[in-house]
Amino acid sequence: MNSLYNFAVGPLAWAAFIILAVTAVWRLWSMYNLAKQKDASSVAYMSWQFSLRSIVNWLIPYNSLGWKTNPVLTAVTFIFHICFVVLVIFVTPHQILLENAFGITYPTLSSEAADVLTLITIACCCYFVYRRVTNVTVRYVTRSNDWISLGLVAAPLVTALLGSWGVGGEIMPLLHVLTAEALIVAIPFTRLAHILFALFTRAYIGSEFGGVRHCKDW
Amino acid sequence: MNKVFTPILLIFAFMLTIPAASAFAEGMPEGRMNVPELAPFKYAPAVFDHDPHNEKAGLEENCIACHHGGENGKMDMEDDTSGTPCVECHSVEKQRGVTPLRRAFHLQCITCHENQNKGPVQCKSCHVPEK
Repeated sequence: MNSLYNFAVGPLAWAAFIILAVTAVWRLWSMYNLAKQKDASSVAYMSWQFSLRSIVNWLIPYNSLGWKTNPVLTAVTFIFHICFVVLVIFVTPHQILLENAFGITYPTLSSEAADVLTLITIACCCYFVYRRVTNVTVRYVTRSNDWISLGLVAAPLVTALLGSWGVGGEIMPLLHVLTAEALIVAIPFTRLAHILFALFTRAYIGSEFGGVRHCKDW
Repeated sequence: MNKVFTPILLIFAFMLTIPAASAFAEGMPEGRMNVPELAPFKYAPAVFDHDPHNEKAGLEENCIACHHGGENGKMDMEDDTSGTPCVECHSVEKQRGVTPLRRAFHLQCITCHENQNKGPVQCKSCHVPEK
């Protein structure tokens, strides 16, 4: 068990991050080339001002028309993303791994607070599942890619929580690491690619609305 | 969808049958590290009993394996510092040329457990929650 765990938090973690870095650059580069090839005028219209204006306005909850249309989904989306990022950075074991490897220290969450945030984030995932199943429009556009992405996100959260509760002994932290690494590697190849593309998508739409249509896109 | 979810559920169902305690079972010492300098604790102090640990690890004659010396950020594996509290050199807060206390403990235990492929390396296997 030790050697498997050491392999997972050592070489496998490095491999996951390197694969992510390389494939993320490749995905962004090939998408940029595709845009240049198929939609050259849009590239010409890209503007920092309209891009940032759109990004900032969509970062504010309930600021855009899109956020106002689905109030519950908006709340769940913001809570989910904020909690997820906070958990990834600020749970104590993650900081300790960084401290052991690189000497990085910063304040972290208590394990009780981490448990609560993890539960909230899992609840958000449940809402996403519920919505995909019950909302006819969403169900119509749902593909297996969406379920895989949701599963990849939920798995490290569930294993983290069970591990924190002591369920499954040493297997659970190992599963947590492995599922998290699966998630990291899958980012460029699944719907999770929005982590890479979201800002550029916003920038693209913002630039078109600002520079071509001369109106707001939020 | 069932094709995906059924195996996942089965895996989790299987894991629930593994008693949480079984992983850190045999021959676990009773005592815990006593380093009040590191308080407040987010996790229970690590389980560690000096003599039983060293007997099991075959370290009785090899104090320097843990109680090393050093200067200017360099470890000295010839200088036996047994009896000197770790905190005397390893300050709690970061200082130039010093591995801070918590990192020193973690690296000391985990690195050796890794190299020997014996002893726990996961958080809660040492920081067993107190009942």
